[in-house]
Parts: sequence; C-alpha cells; structure tokens
Amino acid sequence: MGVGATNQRELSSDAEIYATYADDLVRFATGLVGRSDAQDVVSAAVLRSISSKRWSTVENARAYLYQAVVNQARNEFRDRQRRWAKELRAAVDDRSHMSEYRPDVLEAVKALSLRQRAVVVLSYWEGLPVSEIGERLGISEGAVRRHLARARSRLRVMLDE
Amino acid sequence: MSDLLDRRIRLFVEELLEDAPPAPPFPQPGMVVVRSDDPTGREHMLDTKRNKDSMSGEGRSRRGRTVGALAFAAVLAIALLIGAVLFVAGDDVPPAAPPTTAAPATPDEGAPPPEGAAALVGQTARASGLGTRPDRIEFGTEGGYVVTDLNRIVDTGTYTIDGDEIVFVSDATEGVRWFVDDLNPFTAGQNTCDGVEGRYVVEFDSATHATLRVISDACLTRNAAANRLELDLIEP
Repeated sequence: MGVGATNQRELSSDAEIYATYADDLVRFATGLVGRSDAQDVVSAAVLRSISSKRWSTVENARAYLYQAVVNQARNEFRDRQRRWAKELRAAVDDRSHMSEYRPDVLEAVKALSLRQRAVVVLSYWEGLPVSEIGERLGISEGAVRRHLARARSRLRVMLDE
Repeated sequence: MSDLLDRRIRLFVEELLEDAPPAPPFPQPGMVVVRSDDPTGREHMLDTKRNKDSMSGEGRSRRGRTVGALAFAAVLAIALLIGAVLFVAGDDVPPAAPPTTAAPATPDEGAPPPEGAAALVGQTARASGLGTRPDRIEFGTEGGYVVTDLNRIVDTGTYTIDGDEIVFVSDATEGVRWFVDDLNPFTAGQNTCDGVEGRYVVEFDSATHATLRVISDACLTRNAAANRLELDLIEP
C-alpha cells in the first residue's frame, strides 16, 4: 500500500470523525464566540488538530477537538482585539462582536470568560455532568466547578439587571 | 432561588445557541482557514501554495500580506543594523566570515539560558522531549505550582478577555500553551468567586524557575486543595 493510499485512508477517517462531531462543535463554538465566527473557529481548530503530529495517537478525538475549539476561540479573541485596534485606527465601520444578539444576552456573554462560557454551554445545553465536562475540556472536576460557580455568580448579576 | 437561576441560565443559553450556523465543509489538509469577514460569504479556504483565494483567485490573504510586511521589515532592519555597524566601525571591520550551515542553537546544544522573564519573550528555542502536565509542574511547598523547564518557554505575557487578565505561557511545541486564568503576572492579582476575593502572585524569578503562588483563592479555599491554583493546559 502506497503512502498516498494511506493518507487517503486517514483523510477518510478524519472526515468521518469530523462528520460525527461537526454540528456539536459548531454549536459549542457558537456559545464561545458567537454565530458569525463559529464556523471559522471550528474549521481552523479541526485543521490544526488533524495536521498535528499527535493526532494519530489521540484516543479521545471528541475531547481533543473540543479543547482545540476552545484554544482556537481564545486565539480568535486575541486576533480580534488586534484587528479591532487596527480597524479602529483606520476608522472603518465597527462590526461589534456578537452583534447579532440581543443587548442583554450580549452583555451577559461578555461578562463570562471563555472557559466559563464553555462550561456553561456543556452544562446547561448538553446537560453533561461535571466529570464529563472536565474530560471534554481536559481540566479537572475542581476546575469545572470553579468556572461554573464563577459563571453562575456573574450571570446571576447580569440576568437580574 | 437556585432553580430559578438555573432556568434563567438555561433560557439564556438557548437564546445564545439558537440558530447556530451549519457545520462548514471538512477542512482539507494543505489548506488554511481565512476569516470570512465579508458578509457576502467569501470562501473560507485558501490554497497555501498559490496564496490566492480559491474562489476568486485574486489577491493575497491578510496573513500573507502581514507575513510579507514583517519579512520586509526584518530585512530592512538587518540592513540598517549592518549599515550602522559598518558606519561606526569604519576601516576596522574585519572581513566577513564565510557562511556556515550550522543549525540554530537550542537549549540542548549549549546556548546559555535567557536571564529573567523578559528575556524569555520572543525566544525561539527548539523543544524536545516535552512531557505532559505532571512532567512540567511540581507542587510547590509554599502553595501554588512551580513551573519547570522555562528554558523551553518561548513566550510569556498577558492579554485581557472581557476584563479578565489571562496569563499565557507558550512553549516551543507548536500550539501548546499554558493558560492561567484570572492571574495577573508579576504583580498581585485578584479574582472574585461568589463574593469572595482571592489574590495571587506570579513570580518569574529566573530563567528556569517560576512560581504561581496563591495567596488566597476565592473558590479553592473551600476545596481540599486550599492553597493550589489550577493551571490549565489546553491542547493542541
């Protein structure tokens, strides 16, 4: 079997994995960065993952992809801040982050850190227990509880207003 | 009260996630993703070899232009530096050494470690044999974590997300970063959890040693690991 055939087989396998989790990943990314950027974040995260040397040894592909999405979303924030600064200087129109949301929802989202958004989405949308959230995000159960507690605390204030 | 809050959060999440976009097509290796700021729906993929938009075939990407501009700036800076040296040295400049093919120095090949946290920023050391979390972190006896192997750290710094200071520590393995939430490096930082304030100090005290010290942690003080702060590793 030639190298090309091997690559083709791996590509086919990767495509199957992607097809299995793509919708969930995009919805998860939507909770992190909003609708307009979710597809870009997922595409970049998946591309980086399957291009990684470690990808072939990854046992839990779903958890790996979820962590990649969080990481990519974080990079997206950093890039966005730089881009906004440039665009502001260039006096182009301001395309506000998550502007497609209602102002109150937008304000509540902005009150949460990226990790807090992740645990909130996995807890309240997917209904996952703390242990599974930790596995999915690659963090300890204690960290999940900590992020969830902080998110609830912040949301309590924001949603009461 | 708690149930009411949970219901409200659930409604909030539903509002957030309703009408999530469909999954994009499977990203093929060899392509890179470019942003699709154009509301008319530009193609998301870019052929890295041709560096042209695969749909329109026009223009270079923003990333391509940025890389080109940086490369030009680097060449210009080197040319100016050489010019300045020649100008200052005058006739005493020795003949240029023949070019060598030696590989760039790495920490494992005898290069002296950078001194201080500031010297770590921008270093491009090559990493080898990196371990996972237990290999990189020791539990400090005074609380917090001690990060080892900072010789292999290529970048440290902070940025702000929604008002939160995020410390990031990148090692030379592409894509691996250590993120420390809610910490303010080099100075005392603080966070709040359920109305309780916590304080931290991050000390990069040498090129090979840094301590992320928890003075008091808002949430963890109620947990078993009272004086330890979670240091999250995000892969890839």
